[in-house]
Amino acid sequence: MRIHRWYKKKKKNDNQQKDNINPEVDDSLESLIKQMKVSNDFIYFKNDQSPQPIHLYYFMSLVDSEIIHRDILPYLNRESLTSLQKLKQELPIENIEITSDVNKIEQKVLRGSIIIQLDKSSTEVALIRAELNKAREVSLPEVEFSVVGPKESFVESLDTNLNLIRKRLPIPELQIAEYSVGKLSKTRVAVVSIEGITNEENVNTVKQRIQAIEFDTINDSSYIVQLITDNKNSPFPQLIDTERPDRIASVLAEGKVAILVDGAPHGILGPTTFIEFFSAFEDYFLNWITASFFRLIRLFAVIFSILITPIYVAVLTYHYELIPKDLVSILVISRREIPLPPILEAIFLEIAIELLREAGARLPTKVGQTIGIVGGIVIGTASVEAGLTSNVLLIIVALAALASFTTPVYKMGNTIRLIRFPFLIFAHFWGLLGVAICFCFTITHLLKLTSLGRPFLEPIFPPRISDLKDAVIRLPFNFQAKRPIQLQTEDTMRFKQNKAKDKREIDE
Amino acid sequence: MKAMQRKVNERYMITASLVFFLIHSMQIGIGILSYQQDIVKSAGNDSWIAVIFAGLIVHIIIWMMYKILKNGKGDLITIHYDLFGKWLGGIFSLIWIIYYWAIGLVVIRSYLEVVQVWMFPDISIWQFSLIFLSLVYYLLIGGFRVVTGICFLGVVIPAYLLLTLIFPIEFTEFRNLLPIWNHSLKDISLATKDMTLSYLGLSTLLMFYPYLKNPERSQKWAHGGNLLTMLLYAGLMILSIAYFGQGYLSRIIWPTLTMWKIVELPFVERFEYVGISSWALIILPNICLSFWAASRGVRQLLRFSQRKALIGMLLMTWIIIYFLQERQQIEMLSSYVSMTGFYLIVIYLPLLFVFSYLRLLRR
Amino acid sequence: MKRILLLIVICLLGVLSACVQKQILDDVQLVTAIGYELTNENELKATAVTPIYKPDKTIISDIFTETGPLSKEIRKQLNMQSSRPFVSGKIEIGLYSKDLAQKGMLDLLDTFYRDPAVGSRAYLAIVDGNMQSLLEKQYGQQDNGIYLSHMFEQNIDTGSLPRTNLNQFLSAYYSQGIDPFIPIVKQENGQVKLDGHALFRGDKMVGELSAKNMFIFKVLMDKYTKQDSTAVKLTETNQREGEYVSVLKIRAKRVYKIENTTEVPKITINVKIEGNVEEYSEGQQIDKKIIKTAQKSMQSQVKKQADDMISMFQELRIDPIGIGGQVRSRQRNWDENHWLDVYPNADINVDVQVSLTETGIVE
Repeated sequence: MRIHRWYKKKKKNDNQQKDNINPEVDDSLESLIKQMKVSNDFIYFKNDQSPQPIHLYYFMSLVDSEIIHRDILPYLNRESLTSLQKLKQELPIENIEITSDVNKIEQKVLRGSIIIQLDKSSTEVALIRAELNKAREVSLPEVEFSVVGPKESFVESLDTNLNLIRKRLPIPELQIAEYSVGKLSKTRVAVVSIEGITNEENVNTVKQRIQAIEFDTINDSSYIVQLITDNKNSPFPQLIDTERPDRIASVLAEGKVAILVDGAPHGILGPTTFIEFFSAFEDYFLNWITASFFRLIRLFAVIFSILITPIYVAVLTYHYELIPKDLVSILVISRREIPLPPILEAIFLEIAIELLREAGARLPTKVGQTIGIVGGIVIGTASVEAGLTSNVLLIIVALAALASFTTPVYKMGNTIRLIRFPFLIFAHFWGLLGVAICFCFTITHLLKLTSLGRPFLEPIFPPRISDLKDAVIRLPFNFQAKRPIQLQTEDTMRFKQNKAKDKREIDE
Repeated sequence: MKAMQRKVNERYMITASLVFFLIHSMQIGIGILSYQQDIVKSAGNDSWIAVIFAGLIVHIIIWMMYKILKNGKGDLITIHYDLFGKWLGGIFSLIWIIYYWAIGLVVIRSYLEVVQVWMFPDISIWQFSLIFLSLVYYLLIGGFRVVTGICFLGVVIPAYLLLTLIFPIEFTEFRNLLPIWNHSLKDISLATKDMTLSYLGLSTLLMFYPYLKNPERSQKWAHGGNLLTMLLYAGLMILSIAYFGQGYLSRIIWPTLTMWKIVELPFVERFEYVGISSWALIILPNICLSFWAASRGVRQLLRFSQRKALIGMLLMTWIIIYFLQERQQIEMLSSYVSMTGFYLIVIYLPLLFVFSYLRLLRR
Repeated sequence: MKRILLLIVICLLGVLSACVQKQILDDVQLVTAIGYELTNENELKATAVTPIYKPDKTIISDIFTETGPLSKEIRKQLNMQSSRPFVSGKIEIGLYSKDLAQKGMLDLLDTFYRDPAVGSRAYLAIVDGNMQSLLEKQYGQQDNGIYLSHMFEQNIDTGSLPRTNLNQFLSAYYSQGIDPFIPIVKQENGQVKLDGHALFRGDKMVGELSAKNMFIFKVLMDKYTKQDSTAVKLTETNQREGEYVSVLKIRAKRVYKIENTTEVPKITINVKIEGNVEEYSEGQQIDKKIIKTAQKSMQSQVKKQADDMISMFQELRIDPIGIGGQVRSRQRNWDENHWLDVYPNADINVDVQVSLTETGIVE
């Protein structure tokens, strides 16, 4: 009820904002304060001890009471305090603003400033920042955990997050443009880029898209991702979100644009490529050979995860000829008792695995783990024994699920689990041919995708051989002197390449 | 009537090197599954020589095409318009458009025939072609960049199929190829003529030329694409003769598929089913590029919406495919289209080349 | 957006109603071997072997028999006996009785090679003796089709069986200058064993090669001989009369020399054999002298056997080792009829060189 009324009034206020040309300013400040007083956490008090009565207004819930008690109230008793200008000299706070702009007052007070008024009828007030910053401590990254490397992750406060990035890139070229997005939430959104490296076009695309957002509340960075992404009807994420400040710093240096949102412990990166979703940031902490090996494993895991169950269904339903003669008996024996056709068997198990995953994700950590293990073992064994599924398929589905979790970006992992189902259905109807058709649809879709207007499938298509240095395999750092062509950076060299490549003579 | 579009927006252009994949993917299609039979019937163990001769002829044709396009500045439709005027040029253009469209039709129907014979005798033709054509539509509305993309991936991804050709080698007898050149020149030229048909897809170059960023530099890539096609055809021909012997080879309709029957890996036997399925990705560029060329032609010629032209064409294809039921009909259609292609490319194009050259000289 | 939805709906409708005939692995009756013989009424009698997978994970084979005029007709009749449809995709071996092979095999093979489901690696064999009792007996842990297929595979890799399968047979049948052969199997003491080869002229069996000649046959015709073995009787000196060495891991190579191809051709086959001596009947030290003796004995034995074998082929006017093909590949304008005329009188010599390199881990 109350919210409703407030919202209504707010709307009226908005309208007033629009009609600001013929101002009834006086009336407005008064009405603003009146409107706010409806909320119980809005505090007004008159400081009578001071030589001259001073009026203070603020939201108790937004203001750090320590600042009021320590830095403001003791100084208000001074004699010299005769005007608001004097206040600026007296208070040990750097950012005191004196204004009569009601909109500004409203904005500031709702962000945790204190209004100081000397005379109740005066329209001019001083605004003192005293917001309460209650944010989580910087903690371990949980989604993108890495064994080696930095162990800090973003928190819900934009300022802390920007601090984490700036600490890693202490250069003046690091530019941050801030926007306020969301009609109700007024969320601060920061676009971070490095001048002279990042392509202006990319930065402008991001800025334009953010400014064009029409939404009421932005609760997380993923809202922004969904609102600015190139193709909103695609299951594939086209922007990476990461919780690692080191990853953001490093891709900024590569020439990408980062977006940080207040209240979200994730940053957004763009433009990205399809391959980048399968590279963990940990790859850069390991030796290039190991890192490349793990990347290949991950890529294999993705292909395996998407295709293996559909291929099982296709082969068992239509193409028994394909099965090697020594494998036939294993498959037939494991399936002999099962009344369901392969497709139902597969869907049953796939859904069981999805249920376990979903349950594990929703429940508290400890319980979730137990559910995962118990469910996996009990349901798996029981369904094989009951003759609902074959144990060969159980192994296949479990491996496929495991493989889908190797994807370092969580959202991509979800996509991979999702696109298995259309593949399964096609496999059921047209066997391997159906799998191939579905595959054609998928790559066509991927070909059409763009990330901030840049081709998503790069460096595979358009083929750019030099960008393959950090795609499927990661070459050593001395090969990485050039920034990716995909980003069309203004300064293409990351560092001077060491030209001394003469082969040293043996034993000299 | 609005003027034809002679220059394409830089944003939609593609790099010159991709011509390699456009040409190559268009040449390799459904034909490579079955081209051996006709050639072997006339040239026997010398068939591979005919394959190479045909490839060389096609090289000359590519060179001619580039000359025509360079002189003409624009695509085939504008060149026709410039050389022959509105009506006569329009009629020539229309013939080409129908030819492009017919290639797409023949490829998809022949593929369906392979599927019917080898995998699913009772597959519903209208349903499969509906899904496949909607895939083509989905792809084509992405524009030429996406078409190029599928041509590239349609070459790169199925390249793994080449590895499977190792397996027949165990059972080959390369002595079957000897003695070299024991056929008359007449036999070989007859086989060369038949073989030229397998290379013909490249004519779409006449339509996508304005989309190339550095058209001059793309010529070597076009030749490269054709060279790869030639090597593939010749290599496969040599392998087929060595594996089957020419007597048996001339009796098999799809030798490439039959050859896959010998593949035996620890996890998969009988590779032809995997091969036929993967072939969907190989014929997709064929169909897309030819439908693209046809619909682009309609757009250029009649200033008709390309999207609508495309929908019309796909619907027509769908209906015709449904009525083409018998193998004889398919073969007849396919040979008509091949012959039209042969006359258009081997006879008509050189004439056009001479004509455009004369026009250039007169100026 | 609406268009995409429409597309999805069309796709789903298309897919959901598109059903192709399913062949779910455990709902079909896999035929792994099929035997054909003639009944007394001159009808065809087929015996199909299918595996039965028992709950305790053992596999036994089951047989179905049926008679009829056509082999596909028989399949229909077989289906009447079974709870699940018979499928031919896993046929590992086709067996034929001798009288059937003598009447001509091609019309029977037709069902095999016309059927896209049958693999090219399927083996063919002639059965000496009772077909039904050979197929009825349980030989190994698998069903009989797989058992026979493994037996053939093993003998090709390490024994005296040359590479043979359906494709090789057809390739030889349709090629000029080579005639096909098929191994013979027979049941002996409850076990199945390889017992020589059936030799064909065209598709009719005209002769037999005994089991002891299989080694020479493989040496003379197979592309690779790597793992063969034979016993050699030492004959050089009186002193060593009646002694034997066994030669293992035989590698053989051949070079043909052909002269005077027009009239009566003179053909020399140089055979180089390398092998290891692994057993000596006397159990003594194998010294250089014995090795030399063994080499000489082996040379003369192989030469004699090969000469005998080839003259038998010439008498039968058949050419299973492909001498005609060798001549053809060295000669332009080779005429098959002319060759068939001169072949029986051709002067064919086998020149053998044996080198025995190792003697195991003791001297």
